[in-house]
Amino acid sequence: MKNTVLQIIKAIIFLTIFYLLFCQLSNTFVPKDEEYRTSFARTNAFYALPKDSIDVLYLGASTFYRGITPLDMWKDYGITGYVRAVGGQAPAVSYYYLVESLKYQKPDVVVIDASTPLYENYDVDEKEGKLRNAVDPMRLSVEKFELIQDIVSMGERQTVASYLFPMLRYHSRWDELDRVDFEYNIKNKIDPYKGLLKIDFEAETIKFPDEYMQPNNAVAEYSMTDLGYYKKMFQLCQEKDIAIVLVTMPRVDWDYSRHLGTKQLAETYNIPYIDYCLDENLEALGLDLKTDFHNENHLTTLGAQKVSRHLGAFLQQTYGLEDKRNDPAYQQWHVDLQTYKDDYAEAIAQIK
Amino acid sequence: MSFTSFEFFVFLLIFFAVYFLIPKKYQWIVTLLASYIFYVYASLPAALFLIFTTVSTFYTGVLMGKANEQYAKTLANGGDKLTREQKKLYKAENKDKKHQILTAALVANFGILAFLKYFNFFASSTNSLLDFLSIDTALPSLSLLLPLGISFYTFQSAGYVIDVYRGKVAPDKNIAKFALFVSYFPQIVQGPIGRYDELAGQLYAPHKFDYTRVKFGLQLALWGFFKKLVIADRAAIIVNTVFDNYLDYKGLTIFFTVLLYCFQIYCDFSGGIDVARGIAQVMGIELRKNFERPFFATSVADFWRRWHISLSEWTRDYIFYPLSLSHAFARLGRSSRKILGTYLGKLLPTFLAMLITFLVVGIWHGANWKYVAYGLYNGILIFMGILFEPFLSRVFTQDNAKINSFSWRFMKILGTLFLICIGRYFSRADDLMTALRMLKRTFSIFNPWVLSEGVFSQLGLNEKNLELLLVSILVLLVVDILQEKGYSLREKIAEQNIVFRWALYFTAIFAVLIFGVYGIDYVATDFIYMGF
Repeated sequence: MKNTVLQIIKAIIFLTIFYLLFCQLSNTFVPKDEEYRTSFARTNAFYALPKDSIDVLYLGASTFYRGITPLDMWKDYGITGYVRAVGGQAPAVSYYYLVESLKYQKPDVVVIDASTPLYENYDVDEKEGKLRNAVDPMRLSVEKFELIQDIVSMGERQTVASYLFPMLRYHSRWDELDRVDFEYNIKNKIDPYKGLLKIDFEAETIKFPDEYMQPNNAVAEYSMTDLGYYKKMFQLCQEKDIAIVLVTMPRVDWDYSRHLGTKQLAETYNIPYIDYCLDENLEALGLDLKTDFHNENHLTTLGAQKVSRHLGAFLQQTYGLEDKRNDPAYQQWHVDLQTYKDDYAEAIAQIK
Repeated sequence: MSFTSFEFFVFLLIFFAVYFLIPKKYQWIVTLLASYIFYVYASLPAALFLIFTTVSTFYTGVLMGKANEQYAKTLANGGDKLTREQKKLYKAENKDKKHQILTAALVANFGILAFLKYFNFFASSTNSLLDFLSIDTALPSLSLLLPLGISFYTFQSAGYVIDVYRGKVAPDKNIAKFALFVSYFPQIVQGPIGRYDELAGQLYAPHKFDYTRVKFGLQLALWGFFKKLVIADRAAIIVNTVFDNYLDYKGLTIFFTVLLYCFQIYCDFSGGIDVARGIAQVMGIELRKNFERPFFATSVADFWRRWHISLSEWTRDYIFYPLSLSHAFARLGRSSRKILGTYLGKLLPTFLAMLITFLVVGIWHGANWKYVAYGLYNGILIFMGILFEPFLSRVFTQDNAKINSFSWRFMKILGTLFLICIGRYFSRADDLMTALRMLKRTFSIFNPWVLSEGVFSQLGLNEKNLELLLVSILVLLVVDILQEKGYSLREKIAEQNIVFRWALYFTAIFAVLIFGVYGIDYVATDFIYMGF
C-alpha cells in the first residue's frame, strides 16, 4: 500500500514536470512573427477585460483590426468596444469567437464584418496560418474544441492534436530557433489598444477604379459554408437579444454585386448594413486617399479614426449606448486611452 | 489509426485506464473489444475478413479436436479388440480426416489472402504473357480491398491450425478468446506473428498492474517511437528523393542511400515492433522478439535469424521443415546423391526447400516481381553461404588467424551488410527493372567525392537535419552494440538515481516530440510493414 501511494505520488510529480516542460517548450517553439505575437497579445487583452464591460463587440478580419479603434470611440462617445479579429479571419472563427466572447461579455451590439469572407469559400489548408493565429491564442474551452473540429472537418491536412498542442505543429522549427524564441513569453503580453492591430501611419496612395461600385443587378453568390456561420451568428445574437450590424469597411476590391448580396442577407434577417464602399458613405467619412489607406483594402490609423467616429455616432444614436466616461468603474479605459495617445504622439513624432 | 497518431494515444490512455481498473477476469474482454474498435476504425468491411479467418480457423481447430476425441474414444471403447493393422489404418484415417479439414481451412484463408493481395499481380503478369504470345485476351484488374495486417493475422491463424493438426496445441474452446488471439491490436498491424502456445495463454490470463513492468513497457515503446519518428521517417526523406528520381543520381550517392534505407526500414519496422511489444508489456503480455540487431549479422543466414524473426521462424517451421522432411524431398535427396555425389546431393533438397521458403518470404512482402527476386536472392545467398562457408573460412583465416577474431567478424559483418544492401535495391525500388537499373547506375562510377561535396544535404534534408540523422543513427548503433554485448539497458537505467533517470526520460520524450518527423511539414509515413 505504502509502495502504491509512493508510486502514485511519483507519477503525479513526473506528469507535472512533464506538463511544465511541455508548456515552456510550446512557448519556445511557437512562431514569433508579428501577426502571431499580436494575435496573442490582443486575445490576452480581451480575456483581461473586466467581465461584462464592453458595449460593442467587433468581429471581422484584417479590415476590422486596422479600421476600427475602440479607444477613439471611447474618447469621442464613451462607448466601450473590442475588436476580435485576425488577418483573413474565417467566418467559423468569428462565430466561435462570438460564442466564446459571450461567456465573458454581454455586449449590446455585435458588429460583424460583411466583406470577402462571405464570398470566399474558405480553404482551411491554404489559410492554415491565419487559422493558427486565431485559434492558438484562445483559452482551452468547448468553443475552441468545436472550432478545431470544424477546421479539421473542412481541411485535409489539419489535425485536432496540432491545434490543441501547438508544439506538435511547430516542433520542426527546432533548426531555426533563435534567442527571441527563448526570451519572448507570448502568453504574458497584453495589448492596450482594444483589438486595434497597431498605430500605423504607413500609407499608400490609392485610386478607386472608374467603374468602382457601379450599380447593376448582378448579385454575388455566398459561400454556403461561410454563410452558415453568419446565420449562426445572427441566430445566437437574436436569441441573446443582442443587436447586430453588418459592416463592410472601405476597400478597393469590393463591388456592387457583393454589396447587393450582403444587402439581401441583411434584409432577410432585418439587420442594419453599413457599406462604407458606397459613394455616400465614402463621402461621409471624408477619407484622404493619400494618407488614410495602408493599402488598397486596409486603412491607416488616420482612416480608422474617421471610420470609428462615423460608426461610433451611428451606434450611439441607433442603440442609445450609454456614455461611460464618467463611470469610475471604467477608469482603466482612461489609462489605456492615455497610453494610446502617448503611443500615437510618439508615432507621429517618428514620422516627422 | 496509426501508432503515431494522436487518436491512438487517446485510445491507448483510455484502454489502459479501463484495463487496469476493471476486475482482472474481464481484461481479456476489454482487450478484445479494444482490438475490434482499433480494427474497425481502420475499415469496417475489412473486419469481415478478419472475422471470417477467426471463425474458420477456430472451427477448423474444433473439428480437428472432435476428430481426435472420436479417435481416442473409439480406441478407449474397443481399441483392444482392434488388430495392430486396424489401429494403424484407423489412425491413418483420422489423420486423413484432419488433413482434409486443415487443407480446407488453409486453402480458404490463404486463398483470400492470395486473391486480395496477389490477384492483380497475377492478372497483370498473365496479361503480359498473353500479350507476348499475341493472344488477344486479358484478365481484368480489380479494385480490391486489402485488410489491414491480413498477412500477419492469416499467418498467425494458419500457424494455429497447423499446430492443432500436429497435436502441438489443444484446440481453443472459446471463440471470443480465440478472436482476441487473432485480432490482438498491438500486433495485428505489423506483427510479430504470434504463436498460439506462447501468446494465447498470456492474452486470456489476468494481469496485475506492475509498476516496473509498466515502466519498462513504456520505455520500450518510447525507444520504438524514437527509431520510427526520429530516424526512419527522417531517412525516408532522402531515400524517397533518390528512389523517386534515381536517374539523377549514380555511384555512391545511390549506394549510400540504399544503406540509409537499410537503417530506415530497420528503424521503421523494429520501431513499430518495439511500440507493439512495449504496449503489450504494459498489459503484462510478452510478445516474441522480432529483431536481434540484424546489422551485426555475420552471414545472410545469420541476418535472417535476426531479422523479422517471427516470419523467418514461421516459414522455417511451417514451410521449410515440412518440405525438407517430406517423402518427396527424401526421394529427391536419394536420387540427387546418386547423380551429384554425397555432399552436393545431400544439399540439393535443402537448397530447393530454402528456395521455396524464401520465395514465400519474398512474395509475402508484396505482389511484385521485385519481391520474387528479393526472396530468391536471399535464398540463393544463404545456400551459397552454406556451400562455400567452410572453404572461405579456410582461405581467409590462414596465417593462424583466429576464426573468432574481431577483424574476421567485422569483415563478415561488413560483407553481410553489403549483400543485404544489394537485396534492398529490389525491395525498395518501384519494380524489378528499376532495381536493376539502379544497381547498374551504382556500379557504373566510383564517385567518393559525393561525400565531401555536400550532395546528401541536397536530398530533402538540410544540414542540421542531416547531422541529427547521423547522430541518431550513432545512438542507435551504440544501443545495439551494448545490447549485443548483453547489457540490459533498461535494467541499467533502473539502477541509476532518480534525477538521472528522469532527466533521461524527459530528454527521450522531448527528443521524440521535437525531433520526430510528423505533422504537416513532414508527413509521417505509415509504418512500412503495415502494408504487408
